[in-house]
Amino acid sequence: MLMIFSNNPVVSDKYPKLTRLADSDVHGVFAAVRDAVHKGARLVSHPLSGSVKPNESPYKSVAVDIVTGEWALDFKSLQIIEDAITTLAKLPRKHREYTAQMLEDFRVIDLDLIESAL
Amino acid sequence: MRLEIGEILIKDVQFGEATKVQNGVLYVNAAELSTIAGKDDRIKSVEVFLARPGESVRIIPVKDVIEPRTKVNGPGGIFPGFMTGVEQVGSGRTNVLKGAAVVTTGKIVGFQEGIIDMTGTGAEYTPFSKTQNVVVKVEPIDGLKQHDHELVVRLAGFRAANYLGEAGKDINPDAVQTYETKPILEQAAEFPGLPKIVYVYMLQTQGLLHNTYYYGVDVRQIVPTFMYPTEVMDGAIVSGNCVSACDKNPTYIHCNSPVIVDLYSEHGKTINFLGCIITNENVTLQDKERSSDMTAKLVEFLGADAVIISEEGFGNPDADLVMNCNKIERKGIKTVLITDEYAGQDGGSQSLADSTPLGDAVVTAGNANEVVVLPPMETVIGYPEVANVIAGGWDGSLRPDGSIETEIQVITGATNELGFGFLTAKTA
Repeated sequence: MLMIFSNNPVVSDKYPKLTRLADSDVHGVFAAVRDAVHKGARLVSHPLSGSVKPNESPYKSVAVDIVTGEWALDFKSLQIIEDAITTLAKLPRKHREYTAQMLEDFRVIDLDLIESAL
Repeated sequence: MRLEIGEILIKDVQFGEATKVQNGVLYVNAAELSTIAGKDDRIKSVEVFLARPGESVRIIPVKDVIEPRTKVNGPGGIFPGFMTGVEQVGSGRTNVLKGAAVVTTGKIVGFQEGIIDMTGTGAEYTPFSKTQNVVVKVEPIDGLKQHDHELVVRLAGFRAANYLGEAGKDINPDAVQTYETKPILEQAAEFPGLPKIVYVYMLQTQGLLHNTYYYGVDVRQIVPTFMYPTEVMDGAIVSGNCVSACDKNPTYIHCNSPVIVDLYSEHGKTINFLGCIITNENVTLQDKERSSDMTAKLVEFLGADAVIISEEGFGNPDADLVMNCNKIERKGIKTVLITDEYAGQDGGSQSLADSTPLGDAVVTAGNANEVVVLPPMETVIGYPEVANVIAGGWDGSLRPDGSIETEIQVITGATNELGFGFLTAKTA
């Protein structure tokens, strides 16, 4: 079953049945994805999609496949999400004031990236 | 497929009454250029500026850089699929205004990328501080949405470049370079004693502002395919990729890929260059598996002894790079990878988001997180206020005196992964 972990309200508005909205920053989205992978989910989209760096866009959506049946850990998915968390940690947190228009642009780009995976 | 590139050396650019090339000077009729570039109902206005090497000029935000070219003879036209039909390009004669460039600027989204400084520290990082730049600033009609805005600016740049390129059609070039790749069996037989090399050309293909096109087709939707290297010199590949300035390939760099030019320079001497496989960098893991499988299959089918693989972009494409490397190496074919690094501002962190022990020959184009201070410029073309929200910048990046403290990832072409830049390391 396809599931999107996202903190992007545009994604959850458009795909309400698919989206698990994380009320958090990108770190929180990645952590939720990692937890789901530990429970047996497989990554569908790469968490580091896009050239907008994860310390720059406040929004991130990641698609996973929730596998039903016997539990099995997908090590490839786990490695990719762990590497993404490591990558996010190494990038400096930057203080920026974004305008409403910029936030909309970030949401639109994140939506476009995740839709290319659906 | 055989292509002659006629290089018309451009030493200066000036506004003039007629657009023409005379004694190495490109004269530009700004009104005519503006009209042609702006031929789109979705464009409100087009302004034209000139920026020459050494001038105290900053261009920000840069969307694309395009070299003026024109077909003198042979099938098709420059930028097939966009400016002309889809006829196969890469043969005959193409004339190039070598040393000139069209630079497009426009605020497609609120956060932006791409600085070209024509002098000072920034000029040392961008290859486009050395070109005679015709800057095209595109203002769309009100309310134009992001996808259309990107398309409109991209096409305006191509129209501007092709219009200027036409000025070189009847000019006798200063130099002529000839490039030729034969059909595969013939090519393999031509230099039987030399190692057979294939170039795996990875293209950024993730979505809005992250797209690349081949004959007008969004490369996200292709499966890997074979390309004669000369096709790219006629603009078969164009960039719609304008988020990360340092490690994307502007259209200019595709047309002038140093990987292809260098492979040709060794062709018949130390290697037998069989051609290119173009592949994508999609968002899903399934697409990555399919494309890397097909790329490895094609490499094997072509009979390569070794491949060069170049990446485009950060993060997600690292996974494609590693998959391509692993699958090709496991077929017993050697790989050399070209990438850049996001190793943190101190350079001490893991450089890529993925890695493999089989990637034991890697060329880096530099660390995009390196911090520099760009001095103030007397003239700023574009929108100076975007420095605070540009990729690689932060709040306060733009200082009151007009200088910018930032990571080099804001600079167009700084760590370009085809190696079209100035960063290098030399042993003493």
